[in-house]
Amino acid sequence: MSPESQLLQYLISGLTLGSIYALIAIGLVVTFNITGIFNLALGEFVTLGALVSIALYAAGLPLIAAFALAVLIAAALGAVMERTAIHPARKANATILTLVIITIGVGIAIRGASLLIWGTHPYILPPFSEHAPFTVAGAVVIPQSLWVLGLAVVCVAALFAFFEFTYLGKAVRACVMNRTAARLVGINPQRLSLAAFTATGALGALAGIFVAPITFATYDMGFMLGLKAFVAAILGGVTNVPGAIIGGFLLGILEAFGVGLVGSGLKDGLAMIVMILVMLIRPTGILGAFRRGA
Amino acid sequence: MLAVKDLTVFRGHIRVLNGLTFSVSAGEIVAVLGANGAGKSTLVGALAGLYPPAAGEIVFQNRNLTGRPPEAVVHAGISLVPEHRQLFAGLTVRDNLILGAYHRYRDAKKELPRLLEDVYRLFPALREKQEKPAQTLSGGLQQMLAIGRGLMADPRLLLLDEPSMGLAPLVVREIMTTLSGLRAKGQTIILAEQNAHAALKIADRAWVLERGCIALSDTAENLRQDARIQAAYLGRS
Ligand SMILES: Nc1ncnc2c1ncn2[C@@H]1O[C@H](COP(=O)(O)OP(=O)(O)O)[C@@H](O)[C@H]1O
Ligand SMILES: [Mg+2]
Repeated sequence: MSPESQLLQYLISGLTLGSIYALIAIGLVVTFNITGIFNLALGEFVTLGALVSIALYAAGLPLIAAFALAVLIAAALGAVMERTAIHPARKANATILTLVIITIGVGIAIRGASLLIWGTHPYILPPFSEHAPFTVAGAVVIPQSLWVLGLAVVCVAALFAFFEFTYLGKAVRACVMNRTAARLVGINPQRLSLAAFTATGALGALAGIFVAPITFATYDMGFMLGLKAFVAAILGGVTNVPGAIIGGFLLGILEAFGVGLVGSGLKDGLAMIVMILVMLIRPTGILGAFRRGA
Repeated sequence: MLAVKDLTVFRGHIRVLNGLTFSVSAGEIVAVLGANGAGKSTLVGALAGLYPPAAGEIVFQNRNLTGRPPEAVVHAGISLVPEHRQLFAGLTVRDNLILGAYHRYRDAKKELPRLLEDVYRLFPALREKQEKPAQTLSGGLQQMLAIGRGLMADPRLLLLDEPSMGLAPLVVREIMTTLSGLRAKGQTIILAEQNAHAALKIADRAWVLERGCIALSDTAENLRQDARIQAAYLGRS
């Protein structure tokens, strides 16, 4: 492989990774904007999307049906999480920190349950298309990478359309801009919080389903993905959806090049280094600023 | 239409409203006057459901709204145009307006263009700016937008909190004239104002809040003549 092809290869794997980080980071940012808290259990929904659909597929469901059902289950779990863990705590005037710690706790519980159900070994989900890997300018592209990129593009477009063009999307933005005024026109922030946890649960599961054919699926696959998406969100300025997308891709590309040019030891450490650097140098992220703050 | 009994409201540890009892009839403008910090905002905010009362009762059109959250109160027909406008700053004028109808969006979806038209007729300057973000408007237009958004909820009772704040006298007069026009069409209004002069011109009745109590309650006509009011709020002696 020529050096140029090699670099292209890193870029392709960076874009693939970046798509996944971006998707999860969008989920984090949307939830944060609406509720003021980070759902740090979101990574576990990625795991669930992958493992549940693999289990359903193994049980004989067609692949598409297995996917749909897994996404629905994750969405329902997101809703249950909001109603049983977040909502009551909020009613009891829990601080933001308490609420975030609750999400970490829910994450640990889901991970523990996944470990009990699925054990530690990796599961395989077949790629969505049978097409063999092909080369572009000397770099190998696996078709599943294109599926992942495609999902990211479709989700971003759908979210953009939702927030920009629909009445409900505008109501959500209104609630983010001015919670009191939103309540005065009849927008119920608690209902939006429920919707946010439900929708981002589904989004996380979708990300897990798309990435599973590339990475294998294990009970703890979502943990690191969630953490890195969190870094991507911070990189993008926490409240900013376009920022989260850019942050996700930047982190993915950085990681792919770091691993390729320096060594695989960098894979997980790099994200943490990036987070520390952002916090030190530009805590408002590369775009935008903390609008909600503490 | 509105009957309030022994309304007591705390803000933090401060008892801001101290057992207020009053009623408002359909079709009148009642002005709530008082110095800065007297509790005007707390009163209209409590009526809108923002500050749950510690004691007392709020009954509106035979429905008990005591302790109901704002999103339920607006549905019951009370709409607050809050202090400092509180617009959705990054959204367009038009989006701010249509979101005003949120609580009845499902029923009003088809009527939205007509409802918007009503507001634009009331405040023609808003029509020209309808695609502009709310934050780019002048103070006067922002206040008009806030009132328009409040009206989009189609309230039986419209609450306004200091619509004159920070505006030039000419703009204040324009807004007061509009409110007066709304009343002529049957709109019931509670108007909290520090600007007693402007408020008493259009109000039917007024209360003066002092230390969480209604210190004075009379017709606007009488209060305009009242020596105490003139000394304290109208800047005459
Ligand atoms: N956010 C708040 N927290 C605690 N106390 C408040 C708050 N806002 C207002 N207050 C208290 O309530 C009193 C009444 O305030 P407010 O209703 O805003 O009066 P007005 O609208 O007449 O100026 C003030 O004197 C202040 O002490
Ligand atoms: Mg006030």
